[in-house]
Amino acid sequence: MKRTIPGIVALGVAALALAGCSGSGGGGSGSGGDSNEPIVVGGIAGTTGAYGAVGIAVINGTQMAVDEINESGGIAGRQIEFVWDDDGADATKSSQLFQQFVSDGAVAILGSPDTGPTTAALGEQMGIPVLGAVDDGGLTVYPNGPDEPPYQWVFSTSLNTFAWGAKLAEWSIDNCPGGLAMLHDPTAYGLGGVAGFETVFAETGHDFAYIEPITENWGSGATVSLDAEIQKIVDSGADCVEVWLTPADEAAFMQELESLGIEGLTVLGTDVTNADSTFTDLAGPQGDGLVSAMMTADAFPSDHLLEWREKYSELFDGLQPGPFAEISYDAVYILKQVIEDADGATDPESIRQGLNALTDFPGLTGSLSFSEDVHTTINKEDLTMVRWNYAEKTWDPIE
Amino acid sequence: MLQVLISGLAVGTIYGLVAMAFAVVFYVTKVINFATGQLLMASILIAAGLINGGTPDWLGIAVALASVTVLGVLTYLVAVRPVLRFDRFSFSWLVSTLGVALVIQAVFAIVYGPASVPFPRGWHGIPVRLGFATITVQEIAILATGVLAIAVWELVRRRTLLGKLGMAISTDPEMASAVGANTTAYAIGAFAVGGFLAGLAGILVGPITYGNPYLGDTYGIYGFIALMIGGIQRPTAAMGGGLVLGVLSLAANAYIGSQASDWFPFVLVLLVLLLTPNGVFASGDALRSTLRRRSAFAGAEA
Repeated sequence: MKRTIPGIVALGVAALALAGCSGSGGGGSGSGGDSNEPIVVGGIAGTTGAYGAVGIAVINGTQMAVDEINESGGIAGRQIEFVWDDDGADATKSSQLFQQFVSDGAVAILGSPDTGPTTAALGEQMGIPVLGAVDDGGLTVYPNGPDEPPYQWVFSTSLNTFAWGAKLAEWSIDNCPGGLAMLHDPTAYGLGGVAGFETVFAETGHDFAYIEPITENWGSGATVSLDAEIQKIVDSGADCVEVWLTPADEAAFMQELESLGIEGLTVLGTDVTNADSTFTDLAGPQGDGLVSAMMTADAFPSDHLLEWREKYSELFDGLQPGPFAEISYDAVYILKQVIEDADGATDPESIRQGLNALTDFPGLTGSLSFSEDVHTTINKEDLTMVRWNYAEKTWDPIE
Repeated sequence: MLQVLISGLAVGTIYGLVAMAFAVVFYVTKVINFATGQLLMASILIAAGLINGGTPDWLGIAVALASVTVLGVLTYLVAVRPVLRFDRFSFSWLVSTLGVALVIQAVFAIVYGPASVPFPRGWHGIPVRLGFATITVQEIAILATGVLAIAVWELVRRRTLLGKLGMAISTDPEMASAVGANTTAYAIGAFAVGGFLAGLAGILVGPITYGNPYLGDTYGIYGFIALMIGGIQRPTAAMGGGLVLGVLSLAANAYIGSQASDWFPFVLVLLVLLLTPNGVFASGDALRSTLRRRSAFAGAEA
């Protein structure tokens, strides 16, 4: 009896605690909602780790938009409450944060640029809109490939591996007569790039001269030894190589080419090569001449975008924004428009339908649209080919 | 094949230096310093930070090596000595040195930020052609450093009073202390040498891998695997383990597939532990005993 009562009390306390923590569950504040209640928006991004700068850009871009919207009266008269946390590029933590934010009443989740496959899958499972920097689009949004329907609940304003892959494939067909080799990350990120290339190659009857997956460590930034792969690439006869790896590994690859005395091999980059200065800082003069693609909006920035970048730098201690901040900023304003178009409705289905109907939204990154079949705003047509000019420290358009 | 061998020996020497760092500490104190990988990372970042800020290369490198040597000593004083004083048979140093590793990583992430930091290319940009293979001057320096490390260690261990006293402490610290050996001073010295070796590995690998606060785990793990392959009892054996690991990992990448490096080192260490539990280059292992018995038997039959 003496042992039983404390046990029963403990169980009772635990049950009460669980009941208190469970929150409203599901998502959203229901149609309309109390005008005094803020609209909760969750944000998940990796702000630590070797690529923490990307997560920081996502959060900063989102916060900037949230603050602007709140200052001008909020969404349909309601303030936005932006709750975010660092997932450390860890899928388990991302999953915990996702469920925590949803139980806190988040109407949508923005992110994650690192654990996008996790947030996308959870959004689809729980029927919660996932928006913004969702990994690098691609297979994260279209899990069955570019020719199949996307996840219903995932809408990416982010860089898109399918788009970059397709754009670079087209360039390689015209400029790499000896063929194209490819080294790629084996995750959804790398496989998305491969899928982008294969979409174009399937139409034109081309194929890779050599292709190999390389496991990388996005968490530690440690570069992998690529000497054996470089030799295989040279042996394949390819005169171009797509290095679909981390920016640090891309930089190490170009430096290793010089160390091995290999010349005449054109190196192609990825969507993240020019997203921040990691590649250019690490590659040094050996990075000169790398070819990649960039959002046309960034290659030829409008006055509005230039002013926005200045404002961002002032707000965040001189930091340069980059595309991840831009696409996150756009995502918040898209959410605002969608909710306002639905007369303030914040239930998941209203938001989802509104996102599917988004047409020609004037964003920083261009004119943005979604549809039932297209859940990425950045596609091949929105990109411009560029080449890194080390002397001028610029990405020069080459088309 | 030659390229795989050359590149494998170079990267294996780095692993070997990290393994030696583990082994030197273990040799004297019977403790494994799980912050060794973070000491390698610290040396890269300190040197890169100073050199990128305008400090002459030689001074930046010297300061980095001195700093991680001190950091190694601090690891002993803060995380190991108090634990062993409380209970000299305790394994709590396992947790405390891991804690030091996390603290070092967190501090450097705050100071240097999470992004990778460029390290001067130095000699890594100077290739030397060897038939069908290429080696850089940096890789030659790495190999030379590995040879020098083994030579200096063996020379000190066998030919100096310092080394012989170290052997005595390693074999029986209580008896050595009873006859007047200052075991604490030797422990401090071991952690200092361990820190220095890890720092040296960092300086040598910096031009190849850049600097990043989260790098320590990767090289710490590979260094530990090299230690297990070569033999934990002798630093020279640990270097041998590094060379074996480096060459076989790169060969696996080249001839099995580029993702072989994910699993190959762990399969290798499992095989080694099954066949030669003390390490490939250690004495007293079952395989060597078996081979000796067989050759003795064959000799007797002849």
